[in-house]
Amino acid sequence: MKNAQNRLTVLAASVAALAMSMSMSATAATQGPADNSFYDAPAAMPSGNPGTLVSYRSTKVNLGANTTAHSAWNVTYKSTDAVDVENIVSGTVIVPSAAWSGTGPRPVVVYAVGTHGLGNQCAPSRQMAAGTDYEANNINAALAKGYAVLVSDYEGYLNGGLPTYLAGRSQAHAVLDMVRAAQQLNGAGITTASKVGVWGFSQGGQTSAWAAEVQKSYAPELNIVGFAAGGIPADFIKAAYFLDGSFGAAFLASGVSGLKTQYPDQLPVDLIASDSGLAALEKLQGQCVFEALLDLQNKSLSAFTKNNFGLDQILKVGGVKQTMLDQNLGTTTPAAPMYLFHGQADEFIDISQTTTLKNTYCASNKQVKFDLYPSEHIVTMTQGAGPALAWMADRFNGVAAQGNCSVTTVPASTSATTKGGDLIVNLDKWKLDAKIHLKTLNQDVILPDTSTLSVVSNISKNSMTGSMNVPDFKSRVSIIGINAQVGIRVTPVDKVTGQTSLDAAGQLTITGTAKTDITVTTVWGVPFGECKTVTPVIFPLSYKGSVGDLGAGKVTFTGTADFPQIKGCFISGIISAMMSTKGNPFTFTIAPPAPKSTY
Amino acid sequence: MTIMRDKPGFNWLPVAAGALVLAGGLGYWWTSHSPESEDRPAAAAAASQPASPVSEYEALMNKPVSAPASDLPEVPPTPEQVAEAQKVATEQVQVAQKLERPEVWKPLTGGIKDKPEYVSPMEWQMLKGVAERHPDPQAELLRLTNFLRYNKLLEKWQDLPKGSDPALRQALAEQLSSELPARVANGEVDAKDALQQGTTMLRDAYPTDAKARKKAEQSLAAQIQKAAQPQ
Repeated sequence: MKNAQNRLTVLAASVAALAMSMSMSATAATQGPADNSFYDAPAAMPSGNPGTLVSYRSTKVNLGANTTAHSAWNVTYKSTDAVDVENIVSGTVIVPSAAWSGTGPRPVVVYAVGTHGLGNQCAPSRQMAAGTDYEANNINAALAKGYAVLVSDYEGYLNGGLPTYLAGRSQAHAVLDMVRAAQQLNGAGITTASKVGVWGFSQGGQTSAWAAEVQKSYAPELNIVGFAAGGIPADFIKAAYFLDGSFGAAFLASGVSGLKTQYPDQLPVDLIASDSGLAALEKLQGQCVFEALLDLQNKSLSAFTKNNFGLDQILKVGGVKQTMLDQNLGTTTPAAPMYLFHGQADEFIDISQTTTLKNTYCASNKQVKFDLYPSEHIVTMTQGAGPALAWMADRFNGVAAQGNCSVTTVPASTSATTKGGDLIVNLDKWKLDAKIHLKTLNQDVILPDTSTLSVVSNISKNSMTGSMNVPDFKSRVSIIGINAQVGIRVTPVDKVTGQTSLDAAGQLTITGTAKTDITVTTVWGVPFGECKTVTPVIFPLSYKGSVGDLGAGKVTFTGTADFPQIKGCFISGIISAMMSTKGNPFTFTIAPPAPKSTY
Repeated sequence: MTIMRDKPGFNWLPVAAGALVLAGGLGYWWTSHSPESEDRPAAAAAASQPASPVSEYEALMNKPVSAPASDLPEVPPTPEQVAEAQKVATEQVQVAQKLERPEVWKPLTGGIKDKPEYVSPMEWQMLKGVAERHPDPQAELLRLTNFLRYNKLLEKWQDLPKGSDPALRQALAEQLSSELPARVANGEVDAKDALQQGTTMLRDAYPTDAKARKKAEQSLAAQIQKAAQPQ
């Protein structure tokens, strides 16, 4: 009986998929222009169901150094907004050039992007073309696994459009319909049989979780095997209070714009906002995320409202509160296993948002796993790539998902900057992968695996201070010319100091210095006194790159260090002759500590 | 680079002697208490069958340059290693005495064929071994040898007890300061450190004549600045 029911379900789903496919193919997709007019909205809404591919073109995306070889297309497709009104959404389909070597058809990862900003120029498809997308590391990580990657811009990024930012259903529809659209794209090799995983962080985490909640009703024919979602704003009112007056105030202001765009009758912004508030909103609607964050840091909504109304009063106006409550997650059982994650030091979205959601989901779906990450918001976004993709690979391979629903603790948030403060990024005990090359001897000293760097970066004040921790160790250096090995110890001294800044394009700049003593401890294993650099060796630290590189473990400091005279033992003269020189190359790479599944 | 003057009268000769005693003591303790060292077979073989220096150096030089340099276990020295350390310490003491004669303080020029008298056999092997890897081995051997001599003189000057032997102090300071531009040009000493160090040296070189010292400082600064320019 059960088998018969299953067969009926499969048959019904197949019929639905066929009907959807026939309906979607009613309008033939057109090849779009190569210029910016690709993003012009069509004069009339094309016929066809949600997910109908409207236009496409070949494109190039730049995901930084080591971008996986691929083919890419920009697409526009039909979708629906949060209140089921038809719309046209843009996006990018990226498929690795290498043939898929796994079993079955090539899996598909729908990468749901985080906040990019409200300006049309901020659309992920445009940012990826320009090589400036701060989530490029994550997209490339999925490509490197051999997966096709779909990146929806969400609604509102066609020319002249305004995003329905944070309208959960709209975003979920956009990513689910993108899968349907990609299945119609010739040459992409994405079919109805392709297994699909949805992954996103922050706004993208919200989107992924919303997609998990609506997929059964909105796109039941899709073969989605898992949803990964991190840094989720699951409770909008709590999120609003957390962001108001904080460094992340731009997210709240952008949410006001997005929800007003989606629900103009429910959010009477024109009535609530002051003239300066309306002007600020208009400016925000032309900005990308980092520019907006820097512009509105630590601003309270009350600074932009008539009579300086704060959140308490605003929530009492019209349908504001209900609209915000309608965005909350946790009302429906997720359609597939879920991987949830959040940074304990998240300065934008309090960790309780995701952990509470996890406990809610666990009540109806035990295949929910939550990992606790040690760092702040943006670091966690990229650090999550490895674990999220590993979890997704298990889903693609048919491995049964194991949850950790038995862990119900809600860990306290740590070291997150809240109201009115500076943006402080705390890199606590980050793994330090360090190599120092001894120029004259032409040999490397590699610091122990357990070496760490702890740094507190005040990005608002452009300062950085911290320390290196290198366990007592001896590195083996063969001395050419004699049958001897020398034990060398590297001992950090003083603080790591410098400057850290973030610009409006999301570029992180770090400059500073780390100092160490270098001690030759033994020759032939025989200790013979402290033969040590007379002054600390100064390692200049310099890095400039996407803020997204931090969590990806891609922040590498390279440079040269001058070794001073070495003194204190009976062979110090020759040790100095061999080691005291300018321009010893070094490489320091930092990566965040691993996440935890028990906490 | 700053001059270490926090240990007046410090001299590595007694330290070397102490190291001999220490090495011997440690060697006895380790050999009687510790498990076999992983380095021991090679060292023991080397001790029982003296390898041809050439083949030994070739073997070392053919090793991967970036040999894994990881945490070393606490491996005690073998008796052979302790003996080698004792021998080296004795030789270091012997060659150090050769630098008592100012005639050997001057930098060597031209090619070097034989080991200078102030260079120990161990140091000479190291110098030659490292220089061999250089594209211009002869020039590198000359540079390294001169830098070794300079470092030995520098320590000698730094370790002179305060107020002792002003003539020696003056002579050493003159010699060392005159070499600073070359050390900077060779990339062995940073220009800023050289300026700082040179100022201290010139105080010893011109202990009473402030005017001459000032002039020498200006001249040295100009030479160091010139030496620091990229060639």
